[in-house]
Amino acid sequence: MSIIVENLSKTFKIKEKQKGIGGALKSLVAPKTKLIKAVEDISFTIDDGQAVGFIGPNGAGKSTTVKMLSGILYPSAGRINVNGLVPYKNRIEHVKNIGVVFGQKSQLWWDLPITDTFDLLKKIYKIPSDVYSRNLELFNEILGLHEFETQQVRQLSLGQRMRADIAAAFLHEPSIVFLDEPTIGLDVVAKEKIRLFIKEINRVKKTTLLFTTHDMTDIEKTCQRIIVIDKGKILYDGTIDSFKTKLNKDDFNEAVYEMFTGGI
Amino acid sequence: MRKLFEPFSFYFQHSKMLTKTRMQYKLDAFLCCIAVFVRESAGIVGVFLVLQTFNNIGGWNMQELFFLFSIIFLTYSFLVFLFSGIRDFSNIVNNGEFDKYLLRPRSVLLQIISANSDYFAAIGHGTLGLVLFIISANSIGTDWSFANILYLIITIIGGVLIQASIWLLFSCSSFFLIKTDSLKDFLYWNTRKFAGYPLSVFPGFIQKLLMFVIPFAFVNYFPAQYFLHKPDLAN
Amino acid sequence: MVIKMNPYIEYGKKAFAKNLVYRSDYIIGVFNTVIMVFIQVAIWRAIYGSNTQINGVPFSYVATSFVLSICFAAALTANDFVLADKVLYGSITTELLKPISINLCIMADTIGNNLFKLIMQFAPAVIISGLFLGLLPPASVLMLLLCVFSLIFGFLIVYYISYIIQACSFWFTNVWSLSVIKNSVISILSGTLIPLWFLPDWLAAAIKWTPFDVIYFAPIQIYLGQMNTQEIIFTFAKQIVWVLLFAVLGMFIYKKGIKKLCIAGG
Repeated sequence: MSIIVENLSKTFKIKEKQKGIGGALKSLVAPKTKLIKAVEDISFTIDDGQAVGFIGPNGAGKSTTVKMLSGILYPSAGRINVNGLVPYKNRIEHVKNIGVVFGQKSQLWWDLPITDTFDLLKKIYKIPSDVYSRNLELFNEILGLHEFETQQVRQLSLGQRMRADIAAAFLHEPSIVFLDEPTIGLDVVAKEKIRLFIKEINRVKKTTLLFTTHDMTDIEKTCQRIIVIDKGKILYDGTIDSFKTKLNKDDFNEAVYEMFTGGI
Repeated sequence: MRKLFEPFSFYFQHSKMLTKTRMQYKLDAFLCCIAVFVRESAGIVGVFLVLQTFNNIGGWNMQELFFLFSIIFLTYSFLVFLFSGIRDFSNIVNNGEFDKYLLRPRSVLLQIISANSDYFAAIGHGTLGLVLFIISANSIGTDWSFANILYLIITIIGGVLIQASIWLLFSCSSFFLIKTDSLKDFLYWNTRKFAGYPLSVFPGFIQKLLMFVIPFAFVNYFPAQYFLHKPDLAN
Repeated sequence: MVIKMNPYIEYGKKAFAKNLVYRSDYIIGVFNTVIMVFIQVAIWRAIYGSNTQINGVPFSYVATSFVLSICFAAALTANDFVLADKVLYGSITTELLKPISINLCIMADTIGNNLFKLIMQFAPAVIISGLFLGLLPPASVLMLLLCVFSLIFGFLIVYYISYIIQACSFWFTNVWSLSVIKNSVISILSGTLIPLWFLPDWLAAAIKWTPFDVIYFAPIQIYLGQMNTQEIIFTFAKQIVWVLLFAVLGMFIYKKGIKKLCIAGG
């Protein structure tokens, strides 16, 4: 079992802003705070090598869960175990085995070509030279990194940048990879390339995947199983087919729409 | 043995990339160095102008004051070369850079130190520090024996570490308060403003602040007293 | 007219209110200012030693000049990066599409910020440092009023110098360096680092030909009653000439910049 989550919750305390000059003055003296339950008592397990789609509307708690699983956020309650480790306790050991892709954020060096970042990652993860060059070759083949490897990252298109970011997350052969909206804002061709890559890596390297996205085609083409979450709670956990049957729809997209607009 | 040197090679890999990055904007880099130099020189020019009309400030003449200043600038130069990541820590947390470090199997502090260096400020401050040191070193009556040079080196290393640890203390506070820049400004920069002048000019509580709370007096004032044989505050 | 000014008043209010969000910032800002005054006064007390006056300037004048000039300088600032940020992040193109003047927006933003600083930073800073370090009362009510008026012009000089720096952002990717150099020059030559009475003669003579002595220092001299009617009129004339000169220069550079932007396509 590579990921075990039990009764996980996360509560945030946020300051409430009040309108206008008067309101701003008021919050100066006595700021109002309120509690937000981003994730509420969720449990699931993911087996080695499984590719799981993690679906939910904006603000459902997906990113918060991914952050807790990757160890950058402490849970308020509950237990997480990833590869036998507690993410936020054994940080260094834990992150050796995981890779994370944030669609909204890049880990590439903005003013340098991607090869510089890759070389740095080799150093950071202490990747042996033969593994490093073998992986680069494989990734090049599927993602076509050669086309733009000498250009500065800031000159790349979003699709190119994302391909490079995904390659960067897989370089050290992590056994688990969290993909947080890696296809956001991409065109059809770029999306297809990324799906192909993810599927191939999942098949060849048996990498466990947790895939967050708003594009249901991403999920249908890459994942065997889905976990649906809304308002911090799990609504569904199972295969895509039984999900469609449950909601009486032939089309996955329609089924998801049905679920979030209050079908059940 | 290899394991011992690994962090250094990690650091240099970052330095190489940082240098490459900076070199993408050469004009900007050049202007930045000039700007830092001019900004820091303003205070020195102020002292210079005052001492055109007056002989001394609190019993310290121009050469002696320049020597006092030079230690501040020299230590700051090394400080931002090595530890500007600690200075800019709250930025790093706010813009999400910190999450990136957490996701990598390395010491977070090592990553913060390696991935950040303020070269321009280091050059600007370093140049000014050197100029002031060269102007003043020969005319303050210090015999630059081996022992004294060694003492100077230790002074600078100590000064860098004192300031780095002050920054580190504030950096940690930005986990709890989102905007700590002004708190750091308040305590660090204000204390540093005092440290440009002989401590004896200020009232007792400021002297105690610089000795015991934010120990800037140990960065430049006490060492300068040693080199200049200044007896103030000797009671 | 009122309706036409409405969006700008809104901008000013927004700028004012934005300052209230970070409460620790401005409390600390007040203390930063007070400490700056405190350091300067302490140093000059050491310089004065047992003298009550030097070159005919009593120590109380020096203290008053530091209290006022440093507090003015802290409150009456212009943000050099408003336009620069718009150019750098490309939002200038969308702003040009709105039926409002960018220049008036920047002005409104600055006035909003400065009103906040005057009330929440300047006033407490002057009161605290005045109480502890000594602040002379104005020579007369009339002189106080004239001081306020000339300060407004002093602020306009600062504003239009800043505007020139901002307009340069069409050519420089980063105007930070220019801004820093400008602020350093102003701090040395406007009397916040060394009261202009004590400048060496050659520099004092040279400074008369620059705008720097009429930013903060001339208003303070008016406040202290050190200027006769003729000198006050001359000060105002000089201020107005510099404001116009910088405004025209700034507008010229801005127009060139917009043209460059349109040709280059943003």
